[in-house]
Amino acid sequence: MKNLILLELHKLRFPIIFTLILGMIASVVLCSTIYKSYALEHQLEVWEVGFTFFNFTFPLVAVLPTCWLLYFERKNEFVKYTLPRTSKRKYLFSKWIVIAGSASLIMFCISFIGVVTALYIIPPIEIIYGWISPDTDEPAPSLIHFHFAAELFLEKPLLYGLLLSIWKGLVCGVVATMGFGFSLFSRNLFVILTGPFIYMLLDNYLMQMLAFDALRLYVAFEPTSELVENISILSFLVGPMLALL
Amino acid sequence: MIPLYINISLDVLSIFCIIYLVGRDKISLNLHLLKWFLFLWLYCYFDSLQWIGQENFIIFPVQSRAAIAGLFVLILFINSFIMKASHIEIVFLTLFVYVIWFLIRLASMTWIDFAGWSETLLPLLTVGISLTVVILEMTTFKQYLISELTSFVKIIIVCVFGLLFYIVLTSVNQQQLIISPALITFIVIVLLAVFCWMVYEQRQSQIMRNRLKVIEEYIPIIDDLVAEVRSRQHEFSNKLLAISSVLHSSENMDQARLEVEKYIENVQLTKGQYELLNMDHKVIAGFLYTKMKRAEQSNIVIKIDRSVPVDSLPCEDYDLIEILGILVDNAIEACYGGESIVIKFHKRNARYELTVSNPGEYISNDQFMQFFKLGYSTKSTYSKDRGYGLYNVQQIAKQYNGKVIARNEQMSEMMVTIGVQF
Repeated sequence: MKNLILLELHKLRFPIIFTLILGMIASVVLCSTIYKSYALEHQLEVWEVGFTFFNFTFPLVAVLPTCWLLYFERKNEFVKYTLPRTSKRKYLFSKWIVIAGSASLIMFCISFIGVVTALYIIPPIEIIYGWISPDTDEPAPSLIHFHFAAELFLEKPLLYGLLLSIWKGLVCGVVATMGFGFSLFSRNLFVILTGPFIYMLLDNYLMQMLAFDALRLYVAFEPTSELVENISILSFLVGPMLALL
Repeated sequence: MIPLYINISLDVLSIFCIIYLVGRDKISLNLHLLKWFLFLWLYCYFDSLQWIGQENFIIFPVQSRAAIAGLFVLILFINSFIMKASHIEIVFLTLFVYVIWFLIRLASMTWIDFAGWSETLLPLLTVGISLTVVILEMTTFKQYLISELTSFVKIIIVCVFGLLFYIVLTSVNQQQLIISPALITFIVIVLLAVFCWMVYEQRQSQIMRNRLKVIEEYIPIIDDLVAEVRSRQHEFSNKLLAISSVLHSSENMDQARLEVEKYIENVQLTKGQYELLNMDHKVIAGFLYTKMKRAEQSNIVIKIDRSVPVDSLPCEDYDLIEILGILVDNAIEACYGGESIVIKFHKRNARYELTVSNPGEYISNDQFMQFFKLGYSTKSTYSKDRGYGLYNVQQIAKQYNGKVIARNEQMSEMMVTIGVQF
């Protein structure tokens, strides 16, 4: 099993490393630039506004580097050659571990480098309060009232960023699993590579039409995209569970 | 005010027109297109519903950056189902679709701006221009466009796509573009001029490449034919001596005639070889020689009946070779050993005809029409990649304002004749 995983990693090392480096550079650049045109209250918000590009492209980041391989191995019948040497279950399982694992790792690194950039590389932001408190009629901090996990976000931003990056990595792993599922059966490469992204778009529209906005996969990946009072544990579980189904 | 669903329908229609324009040789028009049309329409409609009154991108039928990325991926996804092309080609064709659609959209916007028309006319004008471009391409400009994209064109497409995408994304504003319409008009005109030049240049270089390719491939073959004839005639003087001896040693004229005929038989060219050596077009002669050799292996004879010079056919060599190749290969596949195939080059009613006939049973007009449909094959049980040959013949004929011919003919036996009339 270990050898199979190493073999898969060997086959996919260049696309994984390429995506990882490109994604991290993009994350640093976006987090260093986009915040300038926003009125922000907290340093970590730099990461939130800079990361929006990845919030809707994460299904592509999850599947593009890795999920094409099984399609081509099926097409050139390489998979058949592996059967006398190892069991199909083991071979596919090792593939899934590498695909889901690399997607999780890539997204975690891209996200966490954004957190580090926002907290330690970007110069301290000029804090602007845009919310008018109804009690004082004066501009006041709004994050404590309206932000997801506000206390953690305000008091331990690094831990908040770390935990959310790990979670984003896990969701990305789930989406990569969906791409892996497509690559097992689909004969169209574009279905494999864009299928999870299109699924996310459809999930977005359908859930909004059915008034289940808080249960979207998009919300599971980025919980701050929905009003904090609508977020519950289900917001984190339903989207990924539906994707897995 | 035009209702949203009509606006979206017009926008999606214009996108499909451009998809058809770009992938014209790779798309078969059928009901599946309607399914994808509906799919794209639903996507654009549901996205636009959420942004009524606060549109960000009037240039797009969707209104958020995520939805624009989604639109691009969806068109890529749809193209992967409706176009018969390689993966990488589909990606570039999709980019090309976007580029052309952007240009038409930007041109429509600036036109509306200059004319002072209402912005509600934008989708209508876009679809009008798109349909005009498709019709012009089908009727007037088809011969100037080729479907294969060279590396140079691919690079240009990516660059132009990047530039236009940048213009569009940075022009996000309520109801209007930040960039001056005059600047956009200038960019659109320059890009259109570059595209026209590029397409023309590409067409010319493609023609030259194709000509060189067929010349390099088939001229050496005609040399083989000459060598074969020479090898059979190099003992010509010996044969003359032998004939002379036969005449002297024969007891009567009948015996002499018989003996001489026997000797001459080995020296004479076959009718096919004679026709090929006298053909005015060496490339076509070389090509037909290869087909004759192939047919010989199956004990099939190819006869050539030519009353006009091959050069007079108003068709490029490589297209003529493709037509002949498809027709002759089909005829060989339809023949049994011992049968004959007839290739005719004739002029009939002031039009040139190239036909290939092979023995076969009577075929109805409906069946003949089926032959020329994309994906139809009488041999489809063996492979799914069949049914392109006669469709391609029809497409080439259309390029030269010609038409395909299919008829049953009673010669020495019932023959099925398929060909092209220029």
